[in-house]
Amino acid sequence: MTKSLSTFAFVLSLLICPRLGSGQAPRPAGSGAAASTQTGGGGADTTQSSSSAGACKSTISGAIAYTDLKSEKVSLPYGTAFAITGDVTQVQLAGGALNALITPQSVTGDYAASDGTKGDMANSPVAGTSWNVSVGKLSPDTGVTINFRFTGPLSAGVVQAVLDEMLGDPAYQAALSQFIDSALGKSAAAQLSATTLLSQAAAAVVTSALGRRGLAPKNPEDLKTALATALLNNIEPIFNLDGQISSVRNPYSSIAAGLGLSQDDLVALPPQLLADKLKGIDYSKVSAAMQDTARQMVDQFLKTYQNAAAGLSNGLKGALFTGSSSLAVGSDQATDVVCDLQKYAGFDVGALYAPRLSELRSFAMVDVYLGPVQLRTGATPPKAGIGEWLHQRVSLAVGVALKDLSGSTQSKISGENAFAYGLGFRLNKYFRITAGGLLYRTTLPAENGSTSPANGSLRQEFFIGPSIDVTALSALQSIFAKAKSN
Amino acid sequence: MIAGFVKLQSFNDGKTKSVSVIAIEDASGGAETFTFVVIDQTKIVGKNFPPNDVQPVSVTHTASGKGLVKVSVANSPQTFTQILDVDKQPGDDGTGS
Repeated sequence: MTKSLSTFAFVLSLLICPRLGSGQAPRPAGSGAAASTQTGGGGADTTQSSSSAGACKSTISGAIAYTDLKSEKVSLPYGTAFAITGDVTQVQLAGGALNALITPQSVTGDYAASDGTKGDMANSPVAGTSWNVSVGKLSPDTGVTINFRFTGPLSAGVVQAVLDEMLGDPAYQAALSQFIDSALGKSAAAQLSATTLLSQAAAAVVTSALGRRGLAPKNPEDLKTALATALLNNIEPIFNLDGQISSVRNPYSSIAAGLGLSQDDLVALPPQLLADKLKGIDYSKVSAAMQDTARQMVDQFLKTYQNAAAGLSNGLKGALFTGSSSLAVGSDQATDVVCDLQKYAGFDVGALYAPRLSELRSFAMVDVYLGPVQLRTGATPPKAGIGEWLHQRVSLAVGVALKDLSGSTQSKISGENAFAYGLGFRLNKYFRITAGGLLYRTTLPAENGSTSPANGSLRQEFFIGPSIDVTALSALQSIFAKAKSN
Repeated sequence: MIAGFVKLQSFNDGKTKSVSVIAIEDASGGAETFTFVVIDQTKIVGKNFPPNDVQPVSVTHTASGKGLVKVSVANSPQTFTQILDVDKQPGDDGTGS
């Protein structure tokens, strides 16, 4: 017996010691690691691991911080609704920071989990710069894609950026050429219809430019009408801007010298930046012959740019835009973001080997954890340290041996039954190594016609063997598991 | 050859309407022929330019309303097109912005 116990202790130390330092491993190596362990183990580990309440950081505060979720610092709870909270300054859209594009007034959205669960997040007002949304119940061990939709009016800086983009847009340039071709030389009245078409084309370009920034009008038809009308009313400065920019960029204008730029750098400046720089132009550096002309040119351009931006801003005033930000967290099995299932016990089947009996027997065993543990061994434990690491892996095992697998013809075990007890050590989500004692009643052969006095006595032998936690299989996961993670 | 145009604008003193543009001559100098299309009227005007000179060029017209005004010049790719309200009354400093 003493020898059996020392062997057990030795085997257990071999299993534990090499990984003692990895108790705080980041989120799971996933199924790949589990699969390779399974191959080496030769069995399936039916471990129902889980963590104690609080194993998921998300359960600590009750609300998930958007930035923590984005950086995958937290797991989402399962089996219970929860909130995600954040600040508008933390959200990025396709075209930049959310609060640089719109002034968010409300947030809503939807989510879809990898197990097919879908849901909507109710509309919630943005208080100052803070926002929060409520998410419904999720299943454990899944990935989730969350779509946030923020709605609000455009930020002031966006209008000028969109104006710049419109001026350089090939579709707008084509519309300008078409407008000139169709309207030039005709009466003012006849030019009006062509101007209307140009305004509509410009409105489409502006809407498209906003779309590239991740912004969609809340009421597209209303915006289309309002924008086209505003652009039509302000078509003079908007149209004239293109020609005046060309004048400013003309190398003979000597503007580049006044700005201390090379001609190439001047041409590369977008209109908004060009306007900003022209406000500080040093005319003394402009060629003497061009100084007066340059002054008139710059004054005209700045006035036109201001009027064009005001016109566009007027068309967008009052319109609400929606900026969407999609957050895919744990979209596959290896990066599941919802808390791993928390289990109290596992039901294993496997094979055990008793060296002194030279027998291999199948057995069924219940492994009871010292508190709920996470199903995946790689999930972030609630606490650091070796103790928590062991808590997530070690279980008390009791069970019965079922049948001899080694073909023994002279088994010392009376009947097929034996009681097994010991410690289980979970290698991963499915596999476990269990070692301990095997209690059985002996059946000893008669020698020289006399039955051994030890025959029928209760004996104990050391055993060790791999097993599979059948309750880790997806269909049986809820057995011995917590209904929700907090 | 004309190398560029600047500040195309319209004037109306109540009696006479005109449009003007500042033209920039390159180092070649010489006589230049300008064509103005003012809404639905076309006007042609010639002017001599010393090398590297910068001069205003203007034409009178009787067109009315708001519409395209384009100036181009012979033997140069340079053009300048703006939408102007040629009826704007003086006292104004012209239109174009």
